[in-house]
Amino acid sequence: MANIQPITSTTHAAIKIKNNPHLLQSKNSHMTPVIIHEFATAAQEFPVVFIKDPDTGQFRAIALLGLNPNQNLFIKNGEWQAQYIPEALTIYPFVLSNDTNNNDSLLLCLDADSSLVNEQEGAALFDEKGQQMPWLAEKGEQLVSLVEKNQLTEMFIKALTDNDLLKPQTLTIQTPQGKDYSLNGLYVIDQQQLDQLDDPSYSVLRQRGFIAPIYASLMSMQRVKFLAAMQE
Amino acid sequence: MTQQQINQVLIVGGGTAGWLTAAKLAKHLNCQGTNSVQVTLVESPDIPTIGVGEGTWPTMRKTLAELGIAEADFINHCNASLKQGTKFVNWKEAPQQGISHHYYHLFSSVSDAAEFNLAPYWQLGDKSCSYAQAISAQYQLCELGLAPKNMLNKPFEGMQNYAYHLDAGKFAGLLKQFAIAKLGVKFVSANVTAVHLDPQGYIASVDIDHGDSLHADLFVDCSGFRSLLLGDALKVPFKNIQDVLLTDHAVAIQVPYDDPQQNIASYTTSTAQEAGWIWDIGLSNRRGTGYVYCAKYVDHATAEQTLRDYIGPAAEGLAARLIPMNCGYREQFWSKNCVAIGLSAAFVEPLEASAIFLIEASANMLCELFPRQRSLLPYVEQKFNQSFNFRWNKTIDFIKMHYFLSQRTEPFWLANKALVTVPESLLTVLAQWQYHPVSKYDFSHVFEPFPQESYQYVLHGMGFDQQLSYNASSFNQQTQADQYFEKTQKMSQYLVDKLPTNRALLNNVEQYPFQSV
Repeated sequence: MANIQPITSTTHAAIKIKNNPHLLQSKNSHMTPVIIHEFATAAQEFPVVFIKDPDTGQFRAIALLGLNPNQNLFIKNGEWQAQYIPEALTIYPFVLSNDTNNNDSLLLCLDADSSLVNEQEGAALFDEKGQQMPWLAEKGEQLVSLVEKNQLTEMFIKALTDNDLLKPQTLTIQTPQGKDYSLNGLYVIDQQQLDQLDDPSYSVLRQRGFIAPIYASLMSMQRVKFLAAMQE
Repeated sequence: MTQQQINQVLIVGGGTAGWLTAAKLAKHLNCQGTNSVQVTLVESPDIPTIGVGEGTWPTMRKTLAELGIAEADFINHCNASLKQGTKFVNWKEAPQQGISHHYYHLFSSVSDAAEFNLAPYWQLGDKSCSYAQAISAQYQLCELGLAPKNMLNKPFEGMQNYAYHLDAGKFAGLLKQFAIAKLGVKFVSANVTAVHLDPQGYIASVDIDHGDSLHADLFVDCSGFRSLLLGDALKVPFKNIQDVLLTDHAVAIQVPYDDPQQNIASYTTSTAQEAGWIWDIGLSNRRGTGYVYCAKYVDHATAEQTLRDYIGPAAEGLAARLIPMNCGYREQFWSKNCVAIGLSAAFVEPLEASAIFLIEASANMLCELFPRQRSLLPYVEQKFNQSFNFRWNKTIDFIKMHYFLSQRTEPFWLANKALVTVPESLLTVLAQWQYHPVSKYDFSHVFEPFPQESYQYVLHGMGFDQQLSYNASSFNQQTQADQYFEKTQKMSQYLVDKLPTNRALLNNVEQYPFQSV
């Protein structure tokens, strides 16, 4: 479980964050969130599809990293295998959280239970004078920017659902060993619906820059068979 | 000769009955199309609606889906919550040394009783768990305060069957807004002052207090207990049933939650009292409670005090409303060119939440058989009367059965068990069921209001004395029955892990719609 703490120079004066080039926090995740800006790039390597958030029932865009829960096929022998790293994975163990004293502002926090958080190894959060290190400030800015990109992604998803462009899809995958997998709870672009979309609606999607990510997602479905092949 | 085609419908009266009928008719008849029937509703700005019917049946989901009302909008607008059945407390017997008895009448069962009836196997078994617990996963969900669906479900779709609790006033408001804005129903706000008949005794028009007359070809009487058209104008007599269902009053109190995040029961609670029973319905913003009683056995002040005692300290300072109830039905629901829907047609006490259900059913039949030609009226009149005579009588029998099976001994309950008060039709089926399980063949009518399983929940919940052991050898599918009983427990466990509390679900619905795929 995560232990989310707002970062302060008093509590976290001595804290260092280990380097994490292989995104080890994701080794047991078969999916990771993606934002609309990275659909085209992510789609080159992962199926980019949609799931419903179990708490809110609202759709989220994800890159599929494995074909079974808790399985990430892109980490082998402790090493990240793909060319591309989804942005959400690069900011771990940092998160933004609502300030309970001030609803309008967000606090930069970290997951204190992360194995990357320690006092011996890696980059310090603060210098000896208790000043925030420049890289940490950058992380904060990156997080804020990611929140904005997430909002655009939500608008994109709303445009998809408003036009009935998502449909449920159960993936039945056969591995080279002939083993069948079936993965439920995924939603994909409904190509038939897209082809039948009236011109004004299509035009709105185009003006908003949503056509490229729609096709990126559609074409990324080809990656499913590569994932199947990656299974032992 | 009067006009041959039926082109104009006038609904007299709003409320749940009026607006639900208006919406269903307008949707079904496509009132916005060319040459379509026009539906007008005239509602008095002065007469308040009764609005205590706060429980629905699962049929409401289909009704809303067909009208095109989004489930989340409906829930938020009507302070609705999700209902999985009714919990009957102290109905079997009065609490003994502080220990109370309860049973559930639920909407989902692990096996369709018409396909494989588990009841005899439960009856012949050790009864280590109650009937409801043995055959329905909803027992656990109700006990734990869980909802029948989660946010991953589509609109109107659940992991288990469900209905709603709703604020009837707000529901009528939502339907009104929707019917006018989206379905093309015309609305006139006025009091009806006179009803005019044509030479054949059909209703021709009504006068309203603006000085206008409203003409129509077909009239729907939704004027409530007053029954302005069917009763007053067409003189269809009212058949009182207080010799069968003895309750004649209700006193109601709305109870706000102490804590706005308090969990909401996902079932109606009905708690038997000395001279009747108390309903307890959890909406998202308050509870609705009321004591349905017979004034012959308890005076109004004592009845109100009983309700206040039931509510506890929270009742202090809350207003109580006394509602006289005249249980019975019109000898005809449809006469000539007028059909009555809602309280103008019939009223039975609210024990099994049949009021809104029978409004839906009446409107459905009216829509389906809508006579576009005046010459078709007599046929539809006959079919409609036959059908609803059957349905109301079955409803009365079913409600009476709850009282008749009770072992309570107060005078009110003994009076309810007196044979002169029990319909012959009920005694006949109970005699059959004493030595034979309830069967799908006992319910041969396609519009049977209460299904086989409903009877079984009540019979076995009330500890009905059913003798099957003499014939045990004919119940020879024990292995299959055991598999079902096991399935109930597995399904309960699975659902308990998947489902949020009723409150948590409603909190989410306030922010997010259900996704339609």
